[in-house]
Amino acid sequence: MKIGKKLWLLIAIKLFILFVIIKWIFFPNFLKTKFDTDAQRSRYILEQLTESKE
Amino acid sequence: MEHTAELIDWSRAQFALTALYHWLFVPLTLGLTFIIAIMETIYVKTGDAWWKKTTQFWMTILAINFAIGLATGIIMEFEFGTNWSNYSWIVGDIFGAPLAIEGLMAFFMESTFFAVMFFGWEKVSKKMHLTSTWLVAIGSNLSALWILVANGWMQHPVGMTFNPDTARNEMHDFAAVFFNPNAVSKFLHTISSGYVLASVFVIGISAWYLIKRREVMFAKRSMIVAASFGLLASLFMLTSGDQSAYEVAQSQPMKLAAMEGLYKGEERAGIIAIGLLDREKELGDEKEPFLFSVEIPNALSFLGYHSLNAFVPGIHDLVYGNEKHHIMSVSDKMKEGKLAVSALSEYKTYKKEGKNTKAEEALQNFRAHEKYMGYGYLKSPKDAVPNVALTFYSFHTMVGLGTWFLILFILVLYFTMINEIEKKRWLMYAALWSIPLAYVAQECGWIVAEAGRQPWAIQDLLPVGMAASNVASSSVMITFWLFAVLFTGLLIAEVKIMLTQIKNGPEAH
Repeated sequence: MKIGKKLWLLIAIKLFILFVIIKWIFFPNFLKTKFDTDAQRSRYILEQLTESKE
Repeated sequence: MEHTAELIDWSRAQFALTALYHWLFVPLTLGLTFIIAIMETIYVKTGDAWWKKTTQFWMTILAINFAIGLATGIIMEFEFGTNWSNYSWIVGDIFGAPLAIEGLMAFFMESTFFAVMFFGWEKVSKKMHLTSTWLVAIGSNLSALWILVANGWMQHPVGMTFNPDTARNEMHDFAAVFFNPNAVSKFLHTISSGYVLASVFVIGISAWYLIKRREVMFAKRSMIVAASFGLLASLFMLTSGDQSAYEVAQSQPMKLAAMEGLYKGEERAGIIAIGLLDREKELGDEKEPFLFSVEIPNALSFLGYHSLNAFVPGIHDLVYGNEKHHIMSVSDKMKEGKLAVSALSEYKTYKKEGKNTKAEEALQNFRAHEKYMGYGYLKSPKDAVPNVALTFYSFHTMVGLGTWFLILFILVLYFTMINEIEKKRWLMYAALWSIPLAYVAQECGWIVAEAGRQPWAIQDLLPVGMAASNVASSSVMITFWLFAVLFTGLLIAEVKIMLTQIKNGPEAH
């Protein structure tokens, strides 16, 4: 089925771009890459929430 | 690195871009699945092969939309982790549950039965195939349900407690989150608007065939199903829109005031049917907000509070307060918010020092003021006001187009039933050109919902400035343009493939 093949190809290319290129290169998880534990992440967010923004 | 205005603007622009593009694909799936299910039901009931052919044609169009739209929403989840990490951490426990259920249950249900529906015509029985088609329709709408439960919580946060040790909101009442009135009304309004878009789409394409004087029977049959479905959906959308506006009035009065460009609150407030905002108007001045307007008296009071005489607070009342109507000013809320932030800071310090009694006192102090915590991060009371012109014009465009679609469905249904639709070429051109308008109405709806609730990422609790990650604005800018190119490419591919299929027509099946 011509249209079916075209759509599968489009899906494959799109998923490759999204998950391999975009996610891997441009969208690392900010908190996971900066900190090793949830406790560190919590401390960081609390700092963000309580530091003076004046 | 600081949260700069540039970083926040680019992060917001990127999220808006991906959300708006994603929403180009979703509503057609929401509605077209039901239209296809209705057509296939007629085929199974009557055994008429014409209906099978009609169903298969629209199914191919759906498949194109599904394949190209697939996973465009996942980019927003990437953005949560990278650009909105503070927000993601703070809401994680609340947002995680509905999104996980959406992924596990609704999306897999939709995808599994989509495969049976699309590839299984000659492989499963008629009844099994029909069941699969209905399950695709239900599954795609269930996907929307869970996403809108999450969105409804951002608009009206309920059923959670903020844990000051982990800096996360923890869900303590799933039912409150699930049955959040804001989420329920938003879900019903969103899916019904999807049904309307799909109906306009089917009618518009069918009108093109009639203009070209080809596929006449196919076009008329499609029009009858779509116009009937669209008419019912439009009537339902009217009631869900009314409920949605009522919920907005209760939990987001500033959004309602912006939707109507209402600066000074009034009793028996009217709705602006048509209006041109004065761009020079500023909060606090005495200028009239409109250069020109036509008002429907009492309608806003009724829409927002279900009473013709109710007082509807304006932007001025909400920012500066109104003692008579017990409305707290933003500056008072900012004081409360700063007390909450300060108490949270003290709690953190005392905990670290092991002073548990003092930490407990600080926590109680925090609980007393946390309702307005988000206001503690605003720099000026005026920061609590969204972009009025954007919200006003988007809302009125959405309502105006919604009204036109209702009229369109009535006209198409009437002239198709009396078999005179082919003679009404103006109506067919109007139907064809209504396709892009249906998409405009959809996007306007989301602009009202999201731009109208600024500056909040979570209503009253977390402004967007605090929700963003400390990343370089240049990297957000680069990915913004990357997505703009990628999505535009996908959109061009979708339109091109669809147009080829439409030109080939149902006979190609």
